[in-house]
Amino acid sequence: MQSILDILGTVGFNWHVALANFFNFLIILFLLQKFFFGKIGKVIDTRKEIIEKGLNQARDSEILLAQAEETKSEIIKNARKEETSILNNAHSKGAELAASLVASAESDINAKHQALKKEEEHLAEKVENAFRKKAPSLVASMYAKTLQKEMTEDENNALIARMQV
Amino acid sequence: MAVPHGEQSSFFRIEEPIPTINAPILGDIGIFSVATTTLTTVFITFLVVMLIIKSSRAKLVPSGSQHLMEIFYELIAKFITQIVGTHEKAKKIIPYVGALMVYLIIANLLPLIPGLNSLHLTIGGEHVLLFRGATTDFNTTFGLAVAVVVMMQIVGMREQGVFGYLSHFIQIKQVIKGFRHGIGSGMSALISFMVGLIEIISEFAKMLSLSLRLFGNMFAHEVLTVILLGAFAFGVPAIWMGMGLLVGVVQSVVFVALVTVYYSLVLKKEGKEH
Repeated sequence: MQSILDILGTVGFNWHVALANFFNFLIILFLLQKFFFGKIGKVIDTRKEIIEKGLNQARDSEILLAQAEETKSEIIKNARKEETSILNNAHSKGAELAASLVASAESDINAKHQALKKEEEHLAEKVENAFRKKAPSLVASMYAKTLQKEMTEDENNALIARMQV
Repeated sequence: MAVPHGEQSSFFRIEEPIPTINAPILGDIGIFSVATTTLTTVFITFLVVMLIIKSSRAKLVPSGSQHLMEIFYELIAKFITQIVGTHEKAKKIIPYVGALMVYLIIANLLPLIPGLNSLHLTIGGEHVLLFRGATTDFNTTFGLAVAVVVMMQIVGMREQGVFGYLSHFIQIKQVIKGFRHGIGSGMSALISFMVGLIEIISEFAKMLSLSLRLFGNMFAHEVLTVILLGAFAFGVPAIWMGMGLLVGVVQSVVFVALVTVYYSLVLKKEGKEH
């Protein structure tokens, strides 16, 4: 042991100083391990975890977004189909309705036309009848005014008879 | 070469005492002796405490010096992972190896700070540096190496269990088992037993090899710097001091790399845990 110490003594070994340096380094080791590397390591690990979590969430969101886009395009596609069918339906129904309206309007017009014709005929008949009733007296008064002479009973009757033929 | 102590310095030559292999002792505190290098290690402790205070304000969103601290941490983590193989294994030894790296980088580069080398003390008529480079003293590097090897044993025991770890050194069970199987396997177990005993010696050898390598390089650099300053005051020493920066970093990295390899040997092999 002494010989080892003697050999080490040639390079300046002094166990009192070495012991002081040994404990000094242990103190530094403890301090750095506990308060520096522990703290910095924890901060870096926590940050890495947060970043990883965020990246995972972003990846999930991207997947959800893609799914939503797919659903959206599906919905739009279906809506377009529905829209086309509704439009077609509306067109055909509209056309049908228009045709039926035109038909009913035409029948209405016809009916009204017929009624008017009848009424016209009825009125004409009425006028004619009235005229026929009044015509002899009118003719008689025209005769009297023209000839400056009153008609006799026989003349009047003969005129009426001729007019009624 | 260097101007002998006592001769006058000239414009081209700077008188500096060539550092002695023994760091001058300033006094004793109990069983501990305080050398000039001990003062440097105390100064390093102070710097480490400052670093810790700074790091205590570390936030999730880094700012200012926290960036540098995190870059340093990541560099250490990457360096260790390259040696031990996996990040999980590296994580277990980052605090030990990282602390060593911090200590060595500060200790090796501290003497390069201008002005720090100008602080002198007079002990027994001799001018000595107040803050001599910590790693230019064998006692510092030896204390460091002993602490590293001791911590390695603790980590090994924590990882593999006390008996599991010690069984690498004293393989009595294997010898008994080997002889039960036959003479051949018994003899090979006996050889393993002897190898285990040599392993104990190699643990001490690690202390010596680590400490002597670092001390030798750093002390030689310090001595050469003084000699060069004695020969040429301008130009050449500046280049050599620049080299000191490289030497300081390289020696720290070499020391730390070797320690990491030693640590990786005491960590459990992957897949062996269960």
